[in-house]
Amino acid sequence: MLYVKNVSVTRYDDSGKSRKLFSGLDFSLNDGQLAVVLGDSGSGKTTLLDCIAGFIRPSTISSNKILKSYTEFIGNIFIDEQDVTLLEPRHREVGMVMQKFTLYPHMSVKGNLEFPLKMRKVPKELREIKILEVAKKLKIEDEIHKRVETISGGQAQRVAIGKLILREPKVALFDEAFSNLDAPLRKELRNNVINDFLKKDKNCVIFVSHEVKDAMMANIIIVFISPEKSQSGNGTKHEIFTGNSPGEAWEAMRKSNVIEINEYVNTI
Amino acid sequence: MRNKNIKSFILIPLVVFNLIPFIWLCIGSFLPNTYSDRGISIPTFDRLTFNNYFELSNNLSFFIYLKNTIIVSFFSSFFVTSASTLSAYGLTRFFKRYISISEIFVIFGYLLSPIILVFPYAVILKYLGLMGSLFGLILANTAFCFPFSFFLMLRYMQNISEKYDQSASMDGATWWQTLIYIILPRALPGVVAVSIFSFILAWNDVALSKILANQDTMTLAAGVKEKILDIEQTQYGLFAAASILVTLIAILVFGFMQFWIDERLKKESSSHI
Repeated sequence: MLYVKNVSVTRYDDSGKSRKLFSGLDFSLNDGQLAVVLGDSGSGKTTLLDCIAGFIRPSTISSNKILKSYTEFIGNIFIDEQDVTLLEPRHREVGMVMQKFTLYPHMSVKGNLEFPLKMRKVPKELREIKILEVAKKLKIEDEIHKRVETISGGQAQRVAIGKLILREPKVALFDEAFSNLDAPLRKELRNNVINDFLKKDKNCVIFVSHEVKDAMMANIIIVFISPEKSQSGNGTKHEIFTGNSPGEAWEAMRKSNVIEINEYVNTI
Repeated sequence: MRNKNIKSFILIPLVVFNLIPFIWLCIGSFLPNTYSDRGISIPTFDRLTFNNYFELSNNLSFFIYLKNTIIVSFFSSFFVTSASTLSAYGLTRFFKRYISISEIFVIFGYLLSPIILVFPYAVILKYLGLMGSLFGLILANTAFCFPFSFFLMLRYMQNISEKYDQSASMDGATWWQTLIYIILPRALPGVVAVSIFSFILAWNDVALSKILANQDTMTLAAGVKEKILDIEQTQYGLFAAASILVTLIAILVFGFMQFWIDERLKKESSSHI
């Protein structure tokens, strides 16, 4: 279970200007539930994931406050009733597929997949079995000994997803993780990977997307609306739509009178 | 075609100018130690001799100096490389606010020549009781090479995206494991450049060794100056032979590491296409 309690993030840049990315964001995600985050680029979707993963923490402010540009974090994040707000990423049971830089270029595909297991001291024989299993699932078993630089963008993205699966996190974060794949493969992988995660006990998934269609299977939809569109002056506005079963949130979003969402819906 | 001519017109004198000292040393090392052979004399085959090299190899202090030089260069290179890598990593990842001020100090440190720094070093080493010891010399060389090496590593570390650190942290790596497995392989060309730089600097150092070391701990460059150049009648042949040997070893080390850097850089650059 994930509980994001009243989180506000403000970004200060070199010229001393501040920009509220979001304020008072408050939602909880039960085990087996899926949240989809929609919004324009630059509206704070990735920042929200960074907060949950622990890259942005209250402690990172104080150490960098003398620098003019920094990101301020207020609020709390709970995973399974435990307050993880101050914990480092490696102590949180969170995995994330980032937009880029998730793979280490100097290692082979296998080295990349192996790294999270190695850091968790999984025995070598078990590692081999797990890596093969995941590679087969993601259709990258032929690429496994290649260097990361030589594989294509779509394959690299699948390796990154493989890393996340091997890590077995309680909260899985996908930051536009399927965007580089071609359409049929994207649909197949997205459904398989996400459903696998949700079926396991005590897992929940947050999924950032540009595609509104992805929101149809979500229990919670979080929409970030950039200041220009919401005409709210300072800061991004956000709307949260929830429902008990997948699809209810989608219906709620369709019925809402947020201009941007109507724009989205009309494009489908 | 004309362009090419102009280029060679400029380049050939430059190359000759750079090579003359080395050629002079090469010829001189095979000539007998007579007064008439000072300066450049035209070598004839009947006068060539290996005596200088034989004499050098019979001279025990040459090998002591050589041993000292290898120890000092190797360890100061090792200390400089590890210290600059660790501090650059720490600053760029955990103490960003101190980067600008440390850069200013480092540039100050780099502007000072060794002959200015050697007396403060001497005072410190005397206080520590390390005056005249190899370890003292290693410390002084480390302190002297550190500023520039640190500056170089800082630039390298700043260019490595922090996303890699975040990714590694999420994979369960501690900061130490992140440095060893992720950051160091990416900063390897910088690490090698720093280690070569500090090795060569310690290898060629005269000022520090001449004042901070004693007869038993002196390094080659200073030793050659002390033993061969400073006697009433300089033995040019012996001096030339010693210089050739010192240079040859340095060239071998440098050439080997240069080759390694090139290979590495080629790999790096091909990875970003």
